[in-house]
Amino acid sequence: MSPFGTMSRRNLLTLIGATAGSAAMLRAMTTMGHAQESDYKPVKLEGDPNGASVVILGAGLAGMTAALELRDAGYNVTILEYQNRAGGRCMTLRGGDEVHEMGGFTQKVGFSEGQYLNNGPWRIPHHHQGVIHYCQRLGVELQPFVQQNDSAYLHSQTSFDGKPQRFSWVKNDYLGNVTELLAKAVNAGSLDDEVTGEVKDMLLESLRAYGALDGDMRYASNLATSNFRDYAKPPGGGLTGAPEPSVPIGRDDLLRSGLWEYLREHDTFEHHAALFQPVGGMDMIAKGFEAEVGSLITFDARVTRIAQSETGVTIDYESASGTGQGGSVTADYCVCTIPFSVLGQIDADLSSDLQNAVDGMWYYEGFKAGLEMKRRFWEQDEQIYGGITFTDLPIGQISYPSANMMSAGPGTLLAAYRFGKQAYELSALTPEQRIERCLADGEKIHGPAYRQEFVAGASWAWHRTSWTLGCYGHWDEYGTAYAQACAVDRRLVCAGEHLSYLPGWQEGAILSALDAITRLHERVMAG
Amino acid sequence: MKHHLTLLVALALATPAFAQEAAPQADAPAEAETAAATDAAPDAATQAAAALTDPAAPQLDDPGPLVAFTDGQDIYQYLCRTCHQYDGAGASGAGAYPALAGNENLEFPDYPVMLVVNGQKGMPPFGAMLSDEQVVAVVTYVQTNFGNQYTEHPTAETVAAVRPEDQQATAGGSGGN
Repeated sequence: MSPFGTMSRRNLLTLIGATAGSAAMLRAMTTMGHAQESDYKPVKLEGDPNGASVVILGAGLAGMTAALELRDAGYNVTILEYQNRAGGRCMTLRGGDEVHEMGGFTQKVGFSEGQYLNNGPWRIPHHHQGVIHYCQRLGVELQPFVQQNDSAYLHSQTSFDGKPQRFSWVKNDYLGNVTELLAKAVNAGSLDDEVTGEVKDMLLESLRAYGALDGDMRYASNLATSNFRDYAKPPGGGLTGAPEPSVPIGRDDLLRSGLWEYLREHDTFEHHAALFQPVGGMDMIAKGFEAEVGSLITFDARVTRIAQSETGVTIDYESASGTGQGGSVTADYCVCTIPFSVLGQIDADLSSDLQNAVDGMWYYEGFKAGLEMKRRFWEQDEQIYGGITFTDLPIGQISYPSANMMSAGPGTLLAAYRFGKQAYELSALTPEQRIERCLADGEKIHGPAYRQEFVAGASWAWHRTSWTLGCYGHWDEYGTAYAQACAVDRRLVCAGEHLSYLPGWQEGAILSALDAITRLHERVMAG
Repeated sequence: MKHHLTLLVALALATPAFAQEAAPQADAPAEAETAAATDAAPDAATQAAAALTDPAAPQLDDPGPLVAFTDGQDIYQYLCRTCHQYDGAGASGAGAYPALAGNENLEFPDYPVMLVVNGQKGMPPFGAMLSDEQVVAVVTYVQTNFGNQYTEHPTAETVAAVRPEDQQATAGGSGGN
């Protein structure tokens, strides 16, 4: 018997055609065949700005996208950047990097050559066509990022004696148990007000096929369910190759474990396959932009005042490190990508609407840590190639590297990725304590190899990062204040992930920048 | 509570600035007092690491959405110190976190209560993670530590009065990014 049941896609279409008419069938086929369009549209800044000048505040992805497009459209562009590097939150930690946090903690990253942690963004959904467009244009090579791995774990400290469960077990046992219960309800007539006749028959058939239910409509231990969830002994060859079925997790234990909480994680739109990552680290995107617009950037520039007049803007800045020179830039227009958490502390001539929006925005927490391991034991011992383990331990997640699978050399795990209250707890620890916490938690999932193979660790606390004061911006609602924050305020317009419907995503930063400079350019052209 | 207090004291000792500020609580268990009284500055980091690796040491937290601690110092160390720092001194760079030490805005309870519950500027709202009593505890803690000696403290009613009807917005991102 086919594990997929008797109803092929073609049969399903035949049934839809037979019961609902050809219009419904056409609609169904269209739906099945069409991918959703991206919100990304290549920007077109038509017309000559006659050498108008723009000062851009911040050399993150929003600022460098704006710089690239405005320069190409004929503007005279300058960028001021607080840090001594370009890219903003698009960054990667490698061996030799130094991390200096607010409050004084410092780290010197001890990763080996080629090992890295993407401490900010780490994955690019296939529908983030803005990011993908610029990667292609800037020569940034992308590779697949494994989001869903059915062999990765789901883990609860208080269920199954703390033993991690494979994602495939929890997913298929949940589906099997729910379809069995639903089939019982249908057969008991509980849903006769909802489904009758041939639709009822089709529902039962679909539940049987979807849940791998047996002839008695039960989700049981047999080779049909093992074909989905995993085997006690997988199929092999010759005389010893006969597979042996595994035993599903009991329904009540499964529900009590709470592990179903994670089952839709990979089904959310932003996690739909395929996802990508730049080869060699996320900051390859930053370096790609920097190769284009790096000569326009003044680094080590901490903006201290933003002034507007009838004829232009004046930006005062000082040396962030105290070792360079401050100065003042005058330009016709300004694109401000400084996070609102920081902008709110700068003496800035903003409209009262914009100032209120700036002051009303707060920033989410976020914490990440990476551990380099001598040996890729998750691959060699546990057959986990990429993907994410979720746990209710403080570390929240462990993600396995999508690059260099099966190499004999080291690999670097994302050993903690946490939002919520635990992010504050982890961020408050010293760097050494954070790594120890990651090892202690990871050991509970992967056993002694986790500590034995450890080489070096690094961590990043977004709330201890002075140029963001948090991870990403929050809107209570996308209403009037959002529109006012996006609007051109005389000669200044703001842009960044915080001014998008994709907060915290690089795509949001790029789409926000393109939208902002399009409206700014229209204003310039209108005179 | 006993175990995590031991752990927190050990962590506090890792930072000399905090160790000077953190006098043992009157209600702290004896072992915490012992740990605090030990002149452990050279070995502070070692001690903290040892506490974390001690298999008997419980988690600092639990998995639920709410903060489990009820003591003001515990809540401060858990949620607040990462930004406002171990000694309440704040921190600065491109942007800054205000110092709580010597901060006159803490003299009257309404302002800090409003900030903790609803957030302000970059600061996230913590109202949905904390009960009225926990907000009272942590605000009272910052009003009476780091050299602060303010005497007018909030009550549960102070907190209830500033809570929005429907507190959905809260610190705690989705982690989907």
